[in-house]
Amino acid sequence: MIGVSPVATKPDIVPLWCKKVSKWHGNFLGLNDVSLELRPGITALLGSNGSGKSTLMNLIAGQLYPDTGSIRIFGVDPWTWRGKHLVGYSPDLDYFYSSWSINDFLMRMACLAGIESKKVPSLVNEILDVVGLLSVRTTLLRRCSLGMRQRAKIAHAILMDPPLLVLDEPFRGIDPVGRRDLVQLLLKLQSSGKTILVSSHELEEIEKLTSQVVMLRSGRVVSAGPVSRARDRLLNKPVEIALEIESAEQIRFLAQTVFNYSEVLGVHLPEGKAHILMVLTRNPEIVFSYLVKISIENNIPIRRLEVLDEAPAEVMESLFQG
Amino acid sequence: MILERGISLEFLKSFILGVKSTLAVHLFRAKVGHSLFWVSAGFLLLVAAVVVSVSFKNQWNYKTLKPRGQAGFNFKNSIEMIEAGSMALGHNAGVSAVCSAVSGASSGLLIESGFPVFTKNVVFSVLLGFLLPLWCLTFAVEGLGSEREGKTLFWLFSKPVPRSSIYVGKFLAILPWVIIWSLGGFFVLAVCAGDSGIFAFKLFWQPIALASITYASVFFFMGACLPRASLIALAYAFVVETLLGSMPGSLKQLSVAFYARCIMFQKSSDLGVVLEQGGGYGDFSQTMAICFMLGIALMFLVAGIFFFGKIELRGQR
Repeated sequence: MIGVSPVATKPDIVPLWCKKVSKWHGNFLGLNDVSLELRPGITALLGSNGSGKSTLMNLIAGQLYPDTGSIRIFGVDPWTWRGKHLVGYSPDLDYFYSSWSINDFLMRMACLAGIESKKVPSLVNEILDVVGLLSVRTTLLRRCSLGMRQRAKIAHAILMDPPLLVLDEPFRGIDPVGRRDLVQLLLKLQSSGKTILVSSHELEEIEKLTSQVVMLRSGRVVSAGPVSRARDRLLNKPVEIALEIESAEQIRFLAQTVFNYSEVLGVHLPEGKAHILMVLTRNPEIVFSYLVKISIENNIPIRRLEVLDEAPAEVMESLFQG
Repeated sequence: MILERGISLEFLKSFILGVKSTLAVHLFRAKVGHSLFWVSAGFLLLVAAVVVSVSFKNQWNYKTLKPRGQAGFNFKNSIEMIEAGSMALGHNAGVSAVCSAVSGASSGLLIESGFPVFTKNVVFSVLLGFLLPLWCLTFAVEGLGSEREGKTLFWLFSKPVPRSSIYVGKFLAILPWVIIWSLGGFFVLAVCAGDSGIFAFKLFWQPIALASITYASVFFFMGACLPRASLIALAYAFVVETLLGSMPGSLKQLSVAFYARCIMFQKSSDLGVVLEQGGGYGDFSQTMAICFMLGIALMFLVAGIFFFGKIELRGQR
């Protein structure tokens, strides 16, 4: 259901189409060459803090403009006012018009969105009921709990009934009962044909919602599709092991020996670093044991041994735990 | 062509909708409790107190002022000298009659000199050079500046209307507050000054309102598009409007206040009162000055729409 680069579908028929999107934050590359396609249904956006989730969501919601590449929602640029009709965004920010009540906030937001004034009160009532805020509608936003404000943001996102919902950390601060209700609401919205992109660190809730995930790491999509595919990709991801050895002769010997093992994908000597040997493998645990064995049998002291990329399980864990 | 026209019409409809809805939501919600508001209210009270004090001493005239370049004597002393001379020359009926006529006319002028004195000392210098920019920036900078600083711009930017309509709608929402506060403040000072002040208010409320609109556009732009807008606006008000605006030569033409003074100068000249000789205020006709002020307002409005449309919400978290 989710396509990863290269994007083949025409942008005007899919709810979300991103092609080679990059975004810089000053000198920091927040998002790097991301290509993505979403179809109706719920997709989870996972990644550790700083992986680019919020940047991607802000780009999709038209709050940021991509430095390179393009994003389309049913063929419309989300940066434009037309695009804003098509996306409802619940950001991971906690800034409100604090002197307004929840009801005033939604009424005014509906008014600003151009909803006919006669329809606004009944619509706001309906939405407040859906997100479970009807009984506390007159509470000032500055007096609301984090969970109540989260619900107000979700209410704001679904106010215009857009076909695409982008929800950044919607479960943050919501109690277990509220989470259950929110999961039910999102599943209901999914069944009505909406496309929902939701980021969260609450894996329990994500598992209840969807099996479709997009994983981001350092601004890149590392996996997109069913969770099983993501797990396979991560488990099969080669990692590099750096070894520091005293003599160049011993390095050459170790390189030749270790390369004979089928688990080793390649070895190389980085330029300008005479004492370093790099070993590429998909199974670092087994290669570690081989290296130790060779080192002891041939009396080759290893000064330093370092995995330059995290092991797959750790990557998975860091992605999930943030 | 048909497609372009269709898109333009759609944009126009959306623009009008955006302006209307932004105006409806924000018109009666100007922020009045912030520190700048109290500062400008405080200055109004301070200046009003000084004006009341001058009125109380009946000093809105040239009696106690000295003619330019003549140290020692004030206007009243000069007339008294003419009268004394007239008495000394009492034996010559013709000379005495001329002296009496001159001193009588001069005394009459002194009694009626409240309007130019009030205009020069309060309207030209204190109001236009200091209070008006301060009052205008109080509301104009807060218009979108408070949304920037409060990081609530997101809620506006997520709406399906052109950003230009949000900018224009917000500007129109703060405009009545700026004009009411400016004209209200001027009226308070005018009432405190008595008849002379009220006469000045009736004559000058239009240029003051026009200057307020121009200031509103300038300061609204700063609030919407610049970081630390309040500080920049205050610096602009004092450096450009207060300092440059009161400098001799053509530098003062950089200030908005200059063009308001030009209109006032022309209006009072039409009544036979020359407010300030050699200030260059007669070089611009009323029409030109109005065009300059409206041009500045329009220029900043267009620039604001352009830059506001480019704002990305970085670092909102």
